[in-house]
Amino acid sequence: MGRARTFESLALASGIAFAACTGEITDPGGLSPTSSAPLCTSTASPGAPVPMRRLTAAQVERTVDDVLGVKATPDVPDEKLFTFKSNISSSVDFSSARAYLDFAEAVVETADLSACSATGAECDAWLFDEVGMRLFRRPLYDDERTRYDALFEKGLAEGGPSEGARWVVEGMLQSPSFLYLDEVVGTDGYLDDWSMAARLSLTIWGTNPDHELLDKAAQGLLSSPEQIVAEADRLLADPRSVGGLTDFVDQWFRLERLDDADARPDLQALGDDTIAAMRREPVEFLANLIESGGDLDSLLASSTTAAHPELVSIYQDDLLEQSSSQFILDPARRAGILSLPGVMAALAHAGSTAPTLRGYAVLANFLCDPPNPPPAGVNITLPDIGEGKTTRERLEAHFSDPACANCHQSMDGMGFAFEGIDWLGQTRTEEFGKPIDDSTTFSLDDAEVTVEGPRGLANVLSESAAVATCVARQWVSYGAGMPDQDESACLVQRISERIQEPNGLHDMVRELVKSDWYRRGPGEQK
Amino acid sequence: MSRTNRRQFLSRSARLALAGSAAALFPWLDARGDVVKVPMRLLLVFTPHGTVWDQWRPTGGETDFTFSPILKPLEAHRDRLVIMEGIEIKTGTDYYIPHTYTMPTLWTGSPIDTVTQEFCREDHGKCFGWNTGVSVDQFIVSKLTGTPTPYGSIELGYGCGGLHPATRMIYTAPAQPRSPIDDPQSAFDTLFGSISPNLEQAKKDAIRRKSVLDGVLGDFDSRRAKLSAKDKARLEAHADSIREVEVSLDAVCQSPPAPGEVNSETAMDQQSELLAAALACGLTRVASFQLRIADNDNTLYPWVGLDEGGHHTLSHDSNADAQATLAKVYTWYSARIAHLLDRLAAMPDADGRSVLDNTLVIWGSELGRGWDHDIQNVPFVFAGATDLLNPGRYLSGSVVQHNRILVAACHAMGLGDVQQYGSLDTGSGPVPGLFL
Repeated sequence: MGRARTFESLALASGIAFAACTGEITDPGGLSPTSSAPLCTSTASPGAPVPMRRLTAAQVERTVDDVLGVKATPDVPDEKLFTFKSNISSSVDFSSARAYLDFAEAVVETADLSACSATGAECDAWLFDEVGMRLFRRPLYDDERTRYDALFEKGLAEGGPSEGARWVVEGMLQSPSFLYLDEVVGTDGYLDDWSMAARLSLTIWGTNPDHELLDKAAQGLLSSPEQIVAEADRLLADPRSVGGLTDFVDQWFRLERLDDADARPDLQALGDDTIAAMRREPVEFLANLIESGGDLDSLLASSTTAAHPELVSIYQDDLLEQSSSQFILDPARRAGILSLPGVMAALAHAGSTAPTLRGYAVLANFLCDPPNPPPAGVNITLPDIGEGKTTRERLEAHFSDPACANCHQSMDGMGFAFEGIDWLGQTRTEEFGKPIDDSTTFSLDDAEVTVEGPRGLANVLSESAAVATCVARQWVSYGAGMPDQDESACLVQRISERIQEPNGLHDMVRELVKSDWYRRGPGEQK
Repeated sequence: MSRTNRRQFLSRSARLALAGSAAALFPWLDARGDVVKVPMRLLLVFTPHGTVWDQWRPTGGETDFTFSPILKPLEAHRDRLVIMEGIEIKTGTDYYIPHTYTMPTLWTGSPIDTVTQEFCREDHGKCFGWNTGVSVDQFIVSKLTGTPTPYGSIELGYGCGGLHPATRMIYTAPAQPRSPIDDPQSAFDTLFGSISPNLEQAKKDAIRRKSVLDGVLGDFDSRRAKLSAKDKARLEAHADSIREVEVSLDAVCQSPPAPGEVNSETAMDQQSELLAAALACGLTRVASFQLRIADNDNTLYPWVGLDEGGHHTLSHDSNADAQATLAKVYTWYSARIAHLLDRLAAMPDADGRSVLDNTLVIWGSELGRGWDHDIQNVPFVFAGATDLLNPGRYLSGSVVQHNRILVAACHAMGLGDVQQYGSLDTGSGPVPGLFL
């Protein structure tokens, strides 16, 4: 396509949501009905009306690794109804049913079935108290046990005890009792303890409960808010919390784009280990902040990150100090989760930065206010301003068109704060021999602000009430498995206040799991 | 079609024996192996984001036209195809989210579900659900008579993404998309790799799978949670899918070569090979083929010169350079469709003709052109179906609602009583001039 560049080639990466100019000069900037945060007015505290959830492919993968020690991913697509994956709408169709079959057979093929080298108590305990209970998130019901005993007997007759075990585990891995949450609501309207154990574990670990959690459910110790918060604290302190936080952070920032080989050959050239570290780092950044008492401000502005030797070559001089667990980065260049190499590289194109995409990410991910798409037929070709122009110069050239400037001045303006970080996530000081200019002016909360670099942007964002509300909405949506609603507005407000206090990110988790929105059943079913 | 021989499937042991000798299935052979009549098949094909009209539109008249640059790869099939423009897709909605709203409409002829607020596009300030109608291929599957095939339908594709209305075009019911298998190796394993070449192992697998899947089906009754009607329907559909898998596992075919290494440039052709073999073997009478998705898909096609930006971004650019690169992408799509037709034409059918002779191929898109999301003129190409199609023509007359094409698909598949298809249909009968 030669030198022709467009708005959108700078604005877009692959995916569902995209942003560009509305072209409506009178448009106030694209506040859509769903993007304005619901207000906390109601005193009622219902449970989230989330439909029956089927585990995501990542949750199945982690659970099977935990329970059977086999690393494998089912080739089953997930639903992404909003920012986060949650399989609450469509049915398992032919190809997914077949994929679950192939997955079950492949997993059992490599699983260690030696506990069932002979029939007897050891085999039964492994099949039902270990595998069955962990996969189904509760003891097997009597009718299930009867069915799996019969299946075992059939397999036993065909090929001995290990064949019986193979049949049983293949069945469990395809069973709706494993694949779907079966959330039982008590007469008090709250989820029973088994259902709470499953929710806690899937939210925080991204995998099924361990024995300790199931034991607590069996003893009825997951009923009070205090018990639930204590358990959430235990789960958060466990290394497995990286699982649930991965599902949250990875989907929030759409970091899967780092692995899109068709769109990002430049990142592929860095090698798998570096890409994996870039993708993991933002998750550990949040995990460390939760552990160390961080708040919203530190999420937006901290320059301390998890140590990743693979990223030393990306950070270079930005790395001021390092220990075995931490990297201290230059706060003048790196501030907050947005400035991490993985996030910056995901918000870029192969071989070029994307200020529009980065500004859009601030608006969508931290202000919950994505701008409207451009009107149909608008000419989105950037004006030709000659060779050797910086990305910023080329984008600023189209601000002379008022139809574009309305949205892009603010959207791209936020993105310009990151121009000192390139498409690989490396800091840079010049482009085409010209010094990088990352001081920028845009409108935020109806006021015009001027900032310099990632730190300047982080400082104004952390002062914005809209940012605290938006981060709370993202977490509540992730945790409930559905977008936040009017009825969750008070929970969102509570979290948005807490995350600005010391230990706020840890409290964000606690406030969610002890809320009625999280603990109560969906109420009257339609 | 109704004259199809009704002989039952081969017994399980006969089929397992066939697995060893790599014989084909051909469910429409009679007991002596003679063909009564090969029934018509249907293949729906999708490529994304319309076309570049001045590079797509043939020049000349209805029968003496000259192939355009984009359609040039199809020229070898001139006598087997109909090129059509003037086809309009209506969304049936007040608001139109480009790409997304017409993907579930393309083969259903019914609007996207704007009542259910499940999928949200915050940039548009709109939420929506899946489809409201059944896609015409699945409607036909539900109405087919004669010998049942091991697969009701087969959906293959490449780069078809996660579950979202913008990525799914085939629907068995409202809110029940049917996903394509979008990896050639998975498609090969599913269609041709279910039965071990080792006869002893194949027997063991068959016995085990039946018992295991029957057990799994039992678990659907063990749930304790109070379920909404919708969630109950989701579980029932899941159980039906397992039953469908059970039936498909018994199918035996002569296997084409395994796909080998898969990459974005060759994957579609690998899928074409598998699809042609599946149709030839009689695994199904109804299939679809989906290249990529109807949304912001910024795949690069470096082998045709699209090495920055991406397809969706480029399709929005009305600049001449951008449109020229875009035309190269669409020409590449045409070459993929040509390859598919080549494979279908090369595959001998049970009646001694080719699989293409007995298959109606319909190739469409979710919109007409990318840069302004026009849906009033969407390019369609039809091919195959020798006994039905009036081929070698370029039709560009009056504007026709695309539901006429869906009715034509019904007629081709023996459902001549169908005069309207989809809730948006405001006309009657099949698209004029398509058939003999």
